[in-house]
Amino acid sequence: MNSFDIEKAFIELIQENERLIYKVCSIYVSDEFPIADLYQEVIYNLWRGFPKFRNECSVSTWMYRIALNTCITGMRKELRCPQRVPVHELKEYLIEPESMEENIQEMYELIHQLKTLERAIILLYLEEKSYQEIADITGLTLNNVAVKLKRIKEKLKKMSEN
Amino acid sequence: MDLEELKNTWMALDEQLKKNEVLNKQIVREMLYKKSNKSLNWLVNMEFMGTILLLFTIPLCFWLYNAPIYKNITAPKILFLVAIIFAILGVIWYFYKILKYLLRIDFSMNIKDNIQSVNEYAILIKKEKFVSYFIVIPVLSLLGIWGYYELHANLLLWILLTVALIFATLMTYWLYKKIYDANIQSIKKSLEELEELKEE
Repeated sequence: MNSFDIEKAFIELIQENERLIYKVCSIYVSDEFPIADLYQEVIYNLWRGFPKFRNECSVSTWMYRIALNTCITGMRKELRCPQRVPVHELKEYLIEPESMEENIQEMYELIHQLKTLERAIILLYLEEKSYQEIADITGLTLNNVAVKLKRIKEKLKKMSEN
Repeated sequence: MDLEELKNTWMALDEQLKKNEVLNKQIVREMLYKKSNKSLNWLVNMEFMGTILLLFTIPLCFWLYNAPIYKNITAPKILFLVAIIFAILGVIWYFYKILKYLLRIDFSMNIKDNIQSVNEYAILIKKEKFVSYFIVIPVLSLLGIWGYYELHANLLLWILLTVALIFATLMTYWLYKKIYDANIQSIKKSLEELEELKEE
């Protein structure tokens, strides 16, 4: 494949999975990291990893890993470079979670109260991933995933009661 | 909102996103080429630059150590010798940080391993900051003062040394603050999460 074909294949992949990327970014949105910045960072890291992708895992597992890793570890202050060139059009097109319908906003408020790794687990759970897939993406053991999910469910229940 | 409701809302969000697909080729292309925030690469480059600077310091200090002007004066010789030792240890330290931590962070690997590498790297930076502030800068400053005292430096040179020391301290502070921006709170939070994982 020449570079033009690689770019074409990548753009198609991104277009097919733009909802996946949006959903991951939306659970890590904060004042410091608006959705457009996270989105751009994820796309960039996917692009960097794309030539190395060898189908050792499914495309979605690979994309979830890169997207979650970028949002959790890549955006940390100590790894962040101060310069960035934002794509302004992106800001116009992406809806901020806080400007969505009321029940969706409420859902995000609950999820944003969870810890970073818990957010990743609940996202994968809501995306109907199996325990094995969640374990593959996060690096946790199956038991650990089960225990964590149980705790997250209890935590969410308590939070919504309050 | 219980879990079932959460799932339904999540599906509603998915439906809304389906209707609202936004990415055209142009936007994706722009994101790929306009992007300059290569955070990890940039950090690795900074560490390599630090290593190169230290590597240059070694022959310079070695040359100063053997300079005839300091032939019979102890303090400057000790200063340059200590500087050489610090530089050699620094080079080893920088390579250790790059190879053991920074190059190990791979976004296509699982999240847990990456969080661990980032946290370990952040802890190293905290230790490095401590050593810089409380060992390297004070030791080199004291040796510098001793050297000036032995050389019977004039007032102008003393002022110059004071300014240089203040500048070096502020520069070190600024570098750590701006480049590494080690957010202790975020590290602590992540460490707590890792501890939780180990316990389970």
